Amino acid sequence: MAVRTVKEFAILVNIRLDEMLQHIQSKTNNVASPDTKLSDDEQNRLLHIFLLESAAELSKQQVPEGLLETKAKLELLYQYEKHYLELIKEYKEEIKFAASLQEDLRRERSQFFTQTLREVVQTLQVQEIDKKVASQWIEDLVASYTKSIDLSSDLAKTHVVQVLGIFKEEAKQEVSKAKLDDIGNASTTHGFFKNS
Amino acid sequence: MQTKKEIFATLQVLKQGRAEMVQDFLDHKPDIYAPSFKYEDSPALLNLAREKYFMTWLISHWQLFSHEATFFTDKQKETEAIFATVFLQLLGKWAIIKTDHAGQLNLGIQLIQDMQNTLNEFIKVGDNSDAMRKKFEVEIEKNRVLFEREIKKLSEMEL
Repeated sequence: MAVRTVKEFAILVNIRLDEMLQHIQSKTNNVASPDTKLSDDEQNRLLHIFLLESAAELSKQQVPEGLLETKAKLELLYQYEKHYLELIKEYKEEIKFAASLQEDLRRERSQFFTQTLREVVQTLQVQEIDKKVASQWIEDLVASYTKSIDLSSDLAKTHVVQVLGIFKEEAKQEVSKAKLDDIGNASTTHGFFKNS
Repeated sequence: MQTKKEIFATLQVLKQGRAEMVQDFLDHKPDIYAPSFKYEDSPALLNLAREKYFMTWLISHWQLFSHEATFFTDKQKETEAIFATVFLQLLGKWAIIKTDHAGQLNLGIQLIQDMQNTLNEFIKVGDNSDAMRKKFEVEIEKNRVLFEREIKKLSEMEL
């Protein structure tokens, strides 16, 4: 998501500007103007808040009989989103850690090829190592360095996959739990099992 | 699942290994620079010297891992098993061993040490054959001069 002003974001999510400004002030304690810029994170956070509030609002309203199914679905979505946000909050440190590992490795790899390698080549030249001999050492150095940093990247990726696995599993459990609750509620509302 | 601390420690060891390798080049480590001059005209021996350097570098990772593992006093054994797996994966990248089962750690270390010893022996044989060749050259030169002296002596006697 690109950086947007409050005004642009309000248009995007179809909310009146004055309402949007009020929301920002009440939820973030920041006073914003129509031209205040919103980062990716801020936009995502506001979207989640709107979604949760709309779903909560909807669940409070008296819903006509025909819309009961839609309401149930929205409630399920609300539960799922709520749980997902809780998960993100709970694993905030893990997510930050996994991202920083990947970032460090990317930075190290780029520094090696843009700076360190040049320094090594210059050192070999200054020491007057024969060109052919030097290029053989450099070839081995690059191959060894690459193999080692590739292994590091694999380890970091494995960690990300493990964290995502926990996420998925917990989200899945929550959905099946919510579905069961939903069936339970529906059965009491509509008397599904009354005739059985 | 590996904990955050273990993942971090493992990645730190690998990073340290890479940093030390680069530093060896920048600090003119004799293991790199001496054979570069000594075997400038002996490509086969230079290859062996390069292999030997990188084998030594590879095995240095296990020393770094072992040192790091001592900080995990509460679950040192589990940490060592994780490091062993990663170390074997590293060796696997050089096709030294094809398993990353921690139980095969000793085999991995033994293999790499054997490779180091073999490389040392090859280099020694190469160095000896070089010394032997020089000895032969001196002998040939000596015989040639002695032979010429004899010829000269004989021709003077005839005159």
